[in-house]
Amino acid sequence: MLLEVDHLHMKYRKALTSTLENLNFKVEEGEFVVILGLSGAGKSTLVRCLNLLIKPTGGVIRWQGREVNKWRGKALKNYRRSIGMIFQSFNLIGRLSALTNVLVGRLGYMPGWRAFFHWYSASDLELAKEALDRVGLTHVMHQRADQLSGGQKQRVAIARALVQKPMLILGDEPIASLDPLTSRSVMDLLKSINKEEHITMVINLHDVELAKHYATRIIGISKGKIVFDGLPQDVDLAVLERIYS
Amino acid sequence: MNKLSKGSLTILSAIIIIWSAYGTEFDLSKFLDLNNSLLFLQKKWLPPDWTVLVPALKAAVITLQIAIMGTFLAILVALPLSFLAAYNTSPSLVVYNGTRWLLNLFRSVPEIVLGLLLVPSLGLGPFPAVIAIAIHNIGVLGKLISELIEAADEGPQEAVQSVGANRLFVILYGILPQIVPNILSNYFYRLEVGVRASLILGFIGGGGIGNMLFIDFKIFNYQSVATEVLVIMLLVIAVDYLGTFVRKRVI
Repeated sequence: MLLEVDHLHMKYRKALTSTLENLNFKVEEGEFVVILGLSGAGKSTLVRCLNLLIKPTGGVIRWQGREVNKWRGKALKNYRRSIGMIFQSFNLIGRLSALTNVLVGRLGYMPGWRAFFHWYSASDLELAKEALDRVGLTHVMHQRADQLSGGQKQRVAIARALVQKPMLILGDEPIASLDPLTSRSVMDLLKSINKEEHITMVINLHDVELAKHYATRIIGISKGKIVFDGLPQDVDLAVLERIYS
Repeated sequence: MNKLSKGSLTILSAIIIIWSAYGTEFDLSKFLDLNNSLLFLQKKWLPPDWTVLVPALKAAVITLQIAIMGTFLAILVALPLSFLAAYNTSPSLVVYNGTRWLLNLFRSVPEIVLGLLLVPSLGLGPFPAVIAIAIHNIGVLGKLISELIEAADEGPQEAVQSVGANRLFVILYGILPQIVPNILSNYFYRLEVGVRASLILGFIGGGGIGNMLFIDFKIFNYQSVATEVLVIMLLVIAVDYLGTFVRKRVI
């Protein structure tokens, strides 16, 4: 078992109601899990709880059987670096090159002085170049990230996640700001990484068709609660009603 | 805002302006004597005394050096302090409030007061002027930069955090690259202001062309003053060009 979520609960300090209520699910190695739900259903909060960017207010998260909630300092950083993350707004550093942005994925591994002086080791540079090659962007390596197209930006972000050598990649609506064609190609890339590099995926989406096409399993969320957990082919009208009501 | 309060706001503004005009003895009819200034300029200032041109240029270089040293020292200290004075990077509320208070204190004391206070311990000359400009600008730049830090896009910071990097690198990668152009822009603006400040500090013995101007003015040496004013104009324009050039290049 890679990841286990046990009675997860999240209530923001000033919120009147809970954002996440009593979530229970498990993620096996190699799965492609899509979390499906409306915006505001709690999907973004959920993925951020998984790598503890947000500290959940209740419940337990287990990573390979070990409880992670109370990890701090080095343990927390090591946990985070084993999980890649991609975002709706890509979250690249606009004024730095595509290559440097990919090298950010190595920050959890390299000694501080290297990161401080941007003096990266040959092996880290090699890894970053390989990752850019994997996402098909070798030719824009030295371009500034803010000059790339949306699709290219998300590919750089995926390369950044790849150099972390992650076991899991989390995605928070990674294709929501892309056009349909680019969305498909980014999802295809994630799918092939899932199959070939055996990296588990937990991806938030709001589009049912894409979810059914790419997922090996779908978790439906509505108002902070799980309303469906099963195979894509079992997502029928009744299920959709529950997710999108 | 409703119409009533808009109307009363207009009346209030008018009252404040009239009050200020009254307090400053504002009187357009006095411009009828403008001729006096022109005659003064013509008779006493012209022609400029070019024999002081070389010393004036040398003094202008010192004025520029005072501004450069002062603002450089300021940004060196202000940059780290500004991260302590920004709520999103400050380690604790106490540090945050303490640093902001310190920056406010530095900013609220004018350079000329700092200069006067420093003369007894540092003596006359450019050095106390440098320190006076540095202290005042630590306050100004610290506040400006801390506001840039607070307004920085959170996306890249979140991404750097998610790869397992520590706080320092969330700042160095997630925040700093975003705000560097604005920091430089503010820095060059403060350098321009620093040149003007170092002119004024010259009046209290801070050296440079301000000092020269003040002395020649005191001994009614207006033809030398004319040359010095022209050199000052040249200096201010040159610094302005430099600032514009660098700002365009960086962004």
